Amino acid sequence: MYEYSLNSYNTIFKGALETSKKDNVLPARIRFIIERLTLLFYEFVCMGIFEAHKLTFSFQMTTMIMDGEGTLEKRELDFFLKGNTSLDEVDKNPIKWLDESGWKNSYKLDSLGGVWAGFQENMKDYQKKWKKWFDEETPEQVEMPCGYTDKLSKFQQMLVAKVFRPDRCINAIKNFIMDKMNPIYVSSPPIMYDKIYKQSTEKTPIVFILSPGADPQAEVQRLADELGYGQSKFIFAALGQGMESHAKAMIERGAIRGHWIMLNNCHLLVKWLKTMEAIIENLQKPDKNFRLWLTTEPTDEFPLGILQKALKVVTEPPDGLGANLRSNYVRLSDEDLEASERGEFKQLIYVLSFFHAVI
Amino acid sequence: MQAISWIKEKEKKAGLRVLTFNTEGFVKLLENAIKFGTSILFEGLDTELDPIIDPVLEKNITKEAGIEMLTLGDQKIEYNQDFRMALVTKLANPMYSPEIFGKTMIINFSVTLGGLKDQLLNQVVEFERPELEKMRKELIASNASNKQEQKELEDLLLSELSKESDVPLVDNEPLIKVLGDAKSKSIKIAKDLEIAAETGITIEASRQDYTNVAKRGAILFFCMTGLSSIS
Repeated sequence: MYEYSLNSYNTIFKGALETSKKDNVLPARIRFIIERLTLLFYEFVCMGIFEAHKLTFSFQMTTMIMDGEGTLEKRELDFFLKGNTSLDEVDKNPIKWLDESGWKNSYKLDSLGGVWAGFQENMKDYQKKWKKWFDEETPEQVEMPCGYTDKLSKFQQMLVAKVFRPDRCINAIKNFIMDKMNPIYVSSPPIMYDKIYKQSTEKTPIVFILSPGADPQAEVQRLADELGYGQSKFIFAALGQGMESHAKAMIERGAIRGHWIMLNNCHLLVKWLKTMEAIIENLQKPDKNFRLWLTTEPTDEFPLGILQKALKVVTEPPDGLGANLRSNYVRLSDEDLEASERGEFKQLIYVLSFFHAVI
Repeated sequence: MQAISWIKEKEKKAGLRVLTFNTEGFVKLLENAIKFGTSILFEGLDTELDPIIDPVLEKNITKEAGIEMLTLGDQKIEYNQDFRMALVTKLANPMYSPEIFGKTMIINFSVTLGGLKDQLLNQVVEFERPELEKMRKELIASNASNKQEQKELEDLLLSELSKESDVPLVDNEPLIKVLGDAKSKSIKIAKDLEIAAETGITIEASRQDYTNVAKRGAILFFCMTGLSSIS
């Protein structure tokens, strides 16, 4: 489902040029553009990918940027991703608390040279200190033995985590991204429906990729009410067998009259989507207010043409308590929060959203 | 994208029609193009081509009474040799069957890191320093016309010299005049080109300030397209 076109990327690029901060000093201006571009890009992509892929994406982006700067040590990255891939037998593991794959990996790490030379010796010699670090609950936040925290970059610290505590690799990656880029790039931006609307046009359909339990229709309905596309201008239907001609008529009529059309569960009528692609393509000058909202479960058969053109939005409950709280709060405006004079009001709101986030 | 605009530009004179397999009545339009020798571009291809165009790809041309004919569907139509057809897909790595690879000429127009970088650089410079981008475009145009003129002069010289004439070369006044003219003109053009090269260097230097933006932009794009390998 993750298909993008150069066209949609160009829109982001232009947006970044237009909205980044101006500065008379050229290097500063260039920095502003780059920062703005990276942020807009991150937000755009995150909107359309699943929670589970966001860190992978962020990590990939960071390493690619480093590669472009020439600061990426490819062999280290390779080790981090694949570990020790050689088939050679290794000596018996002298460190009791370290598992076999960790011991094998330490061979490879040692062989990378530079700051890693003698790392394995060090592990063996200072077993006690390493054991203490190994036993920490959050080792990535604690100083490593023998001054390795200072000796190694955040990137290299991930490799140590790979050897000792593979379970903490995720956190080590987050640390690395925060250090190299910005903490923003490890958090997932909350979905703002009005923002999505602003990015869309009458020619770009909006595709919601569904995850279990998500119901974007209610949100879209609310947005429609807010923007004055009440009952008569917001028309929705769930696709299913026998709906083909009805849906076609809906789209065509909506394009002329400037309605919002929402077709739910496109994955149930995947064969018809090709026809829909043609219908969308053949629309003659759709009304400026026309919007086409589609929802679908992930499917490989979704036509590429629509996917590349469309704005893709993944609706998924955000990961973690903080993000959940935030997504509750973005739906409230400042006026909503100030609606009552009683001080307890805000506290009640907080408690309620906390409750929502927990369950 | 670029491929499409390039083809559109190039085939404009040949009456290019842009179609997809979803366009209503595309077969009729295709027939007309074959008959009248115009060009056709099919956009948004998938991995499967509509089998109706097979005879066109195979060039199943038969001669009947000296006229070249092609059978498309159940109709026989006259085949005009000026007819051209291009097919464009958006797929990054399309898996076509060997027959299609055999019957068509496949050209990879997908964007490369370097290409995208140049493109984005143009965009940034155009936005940040429009005058610079304008200058660059003008320079390219004037360079081209100067070079063209230079070539014409050279051709003129050769054709004048090779003309047979009764008068000995050294006494041929009109010829000497033409030669003299050509010489002074070509010196001027050479100078112009030299200046242009210098300005080109300064423009390029100012543009280089923005390469970091372009580079980051290109990297990010490729990061995005790489996502399709996840899902």
